[in-house]
Amino acid sequence: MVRLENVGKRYGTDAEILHDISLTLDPGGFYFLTGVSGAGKTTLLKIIYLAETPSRGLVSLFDTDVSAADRATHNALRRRIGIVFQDFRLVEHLTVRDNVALPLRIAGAAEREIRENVPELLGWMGLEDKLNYHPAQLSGGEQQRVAIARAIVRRPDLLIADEPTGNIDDEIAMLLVRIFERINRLGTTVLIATHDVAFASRFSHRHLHLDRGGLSAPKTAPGAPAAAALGGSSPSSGAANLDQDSAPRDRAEAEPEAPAGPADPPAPGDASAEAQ
Amino acid sequence: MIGAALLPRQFRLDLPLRRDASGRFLPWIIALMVYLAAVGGIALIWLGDTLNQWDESLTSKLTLQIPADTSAARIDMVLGALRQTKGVVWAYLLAPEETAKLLEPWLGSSVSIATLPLPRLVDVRVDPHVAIDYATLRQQLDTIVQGAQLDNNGTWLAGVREFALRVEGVITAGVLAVTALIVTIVVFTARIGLAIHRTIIELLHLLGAQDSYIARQFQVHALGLGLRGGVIGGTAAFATVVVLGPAAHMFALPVPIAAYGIFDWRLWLLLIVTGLAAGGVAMLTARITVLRQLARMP
Ligand SMILES: Nc1ncnc2c1ncn2[C@@H]1O[C@H](COP(=O)(O)OP(=O)(O)OP(=O)(O)O)[C@@H](O)[C@H]1O
Ligand SMILES: [Mg+2]
Repeated sequence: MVRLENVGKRYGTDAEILHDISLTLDPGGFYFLTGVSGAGKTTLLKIIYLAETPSRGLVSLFDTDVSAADRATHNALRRRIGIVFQDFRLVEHLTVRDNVALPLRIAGAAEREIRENVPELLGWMGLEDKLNYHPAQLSGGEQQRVAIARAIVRRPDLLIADEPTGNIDDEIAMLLVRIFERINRLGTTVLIATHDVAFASRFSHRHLHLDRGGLSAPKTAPGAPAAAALGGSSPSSGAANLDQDSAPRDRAEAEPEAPAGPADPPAPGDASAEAQ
Repeated sequence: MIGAALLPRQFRLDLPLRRDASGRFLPWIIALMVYLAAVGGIALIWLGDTLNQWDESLTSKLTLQIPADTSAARIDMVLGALRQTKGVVWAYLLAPEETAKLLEPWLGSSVSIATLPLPRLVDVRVDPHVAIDYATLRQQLDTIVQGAQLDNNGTWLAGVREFALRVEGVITAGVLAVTALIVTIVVFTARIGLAIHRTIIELLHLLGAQDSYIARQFQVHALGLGLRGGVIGGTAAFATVVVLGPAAHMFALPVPIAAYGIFDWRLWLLLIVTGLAAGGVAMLTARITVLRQLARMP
C-alpha cells in the first residue's frame, strides 16, 4: 500500500530532516506516527501524501512508483488519500457542505450523489445542523470534524491525520481515534501522526517512531506493542490490528459528544470517486 | 454566491474568483476594447460598401471633351473609335443645348450658347469589370482629334482604393492590437488570481484535482467577465450607431457609421461576433495561462 525505501529529505542545502526512512504500511492497517515536535512527522506525511518529493530514496503508493509517475497519475493517487491537515485547511468561503463535497466534486461525482451523501456523513459526524455554516462560524472541534468528514467522504484507501489530537482534551481525542477506527474497519488504512507518545500508547495499534529524522522503535510505550512496520520487515504485524476493540474502553463509550448515527459511517461516493 | 447551488457544475467555482477586485474592472476594460473593435469593424464594412458603390458609379462613367472647333466628321470618328473599344458600353454625344444646360450654373442662362466656343461632351459608360487600357485609348483619340480629353475617374479611384486599403490595414491592426491587449490583461488577471488563491489551489491539488479542474474555474470566470465586457461594449457601439446615424444625416456629415441602418444584419452579426469573441478570447487565454502556470507548480 505505502512503501518507503531509504527515503531522505532535505530542504535546499540545509541538513537532512529525514534520513534513511524505510517503512511499509499494509492495507487495512492502523498506524501511529510518533515523535517530538520537529522530529519530521509532518514532513514524512507530506512525502506520503505527495506534497513533497523526497531528496532521495523510493516512494511507492498503491504499487505505483511515485517518482516515475506523471502529474496526472500523482493526482489520481492523491484522490485515493484522505488528509486531515494539522491546521484543517478548510476553505473559508465555502459552506461546511461544500467543503466536504469538494473531494467528491474533484473526483467528478454526480451532484445527486453529493446531495445525498454529504449531509448523511455530516449527520453522522454530529454536524447535521451546521451544513450551511462557514468554517469561521464553527468551534475548533466542529472545524476538526468537518476536516475529518472531508478526508473520509471519498472512502479513501489511505487516511492520513496530522496531529488530530493536538490541542483537544483527552476525551475528544479518544473519540476521534474511535472514529478513525471505525473508518479503518471499513478497509481504510489509517496513519495518525502525534507528538504524544503516551497517548498513542494507550492503543494497541502499531507505532512508527521518528527520532531526529530517523525511524526507531518507540522508547516510551509501556504496554503497547513495539512491533512497528519498520523497514517492511514484519509483514505479519498486521495481527495487532485485529484486536483493536481491546483498546482502553474506560471512557470511550461514554462520550457525551459521541456522534449519533449508525455504528459505521456511510460509504459515500466510493465507486464514482475513483473515476479518473 | 446566492443560488450557487443551482448552477450547473460546469459553472460552479470553488475559488472565490468572483470576489476578486480584478473581476470588477476587467469587464469595463474589455468593454472599451470591444467598443473600439466594433466601431472599427463597422467602419471597415462602410469602407467596403463605399468602394463598391464607387466601383459601380464612378468607374463606369467617363467624360470625353472635344475641342469646340472639331468637325462633325472627326467627332463621328471619335465616337466610332470609342464604341469599338472593348469595355465601352455606350458613348453618347451631348447636344450643344445639353452641354449648355450642364454649364448653366456656371455661365448663367442669359449667355447665348451660340456665341460661346463650348467644347462638345461625350458621355461614356464602360463596363467596370473590363480593364481598359486608357493610355492607348487616349493616344488613339488624340490622333483623331487633337486636344480630346478623356477624364478618367479610374486613376483617381485607384488612389482612393489604395488609401482605403491602407485605412483597412490600420483598422485591422487596431482590432489585432485590441485583441492582444485583452489577452495581456486576462493573462495578468489570471496570474494574479493564481497568486491570490494559491493556498486553495494547493489544497485542491492535494485533494487530487487535475490541472484542468482548476483551469476550468478560471476559464468559466474569464468567460463571464469577457461576455459581460462584450455586452457592454457592443451596446455602446450600437448606441453610437443609433445616435450618430441620424445626427450625421442631419448635418450631412460623412460619418461612416451613419451609413448604417440599425437593421443591417451585418451590424448585428458584427456586434454579436465581437461580443462572443471577447468572451472566447478571455476564456481561452485564462485556460492556457492557468494550465501553463500550474504545470510549473509541484
Ligand atoms: N519548508 C521547509 N523548509 C525548511 N525546513 C523545513 C520546512 N518544513 C519543515 N522544515 C524543518 O523540518 C523539521 C521537521 O519539521 P516537521 O514539520 O516535519 O516536524 P513535526 O514533527 O511535524 O513537528 P510538529 O510536531 O511540531 O508538527 C523542522 O526542523 C523544520 O524546521
Ligand atoms: Mg507537524
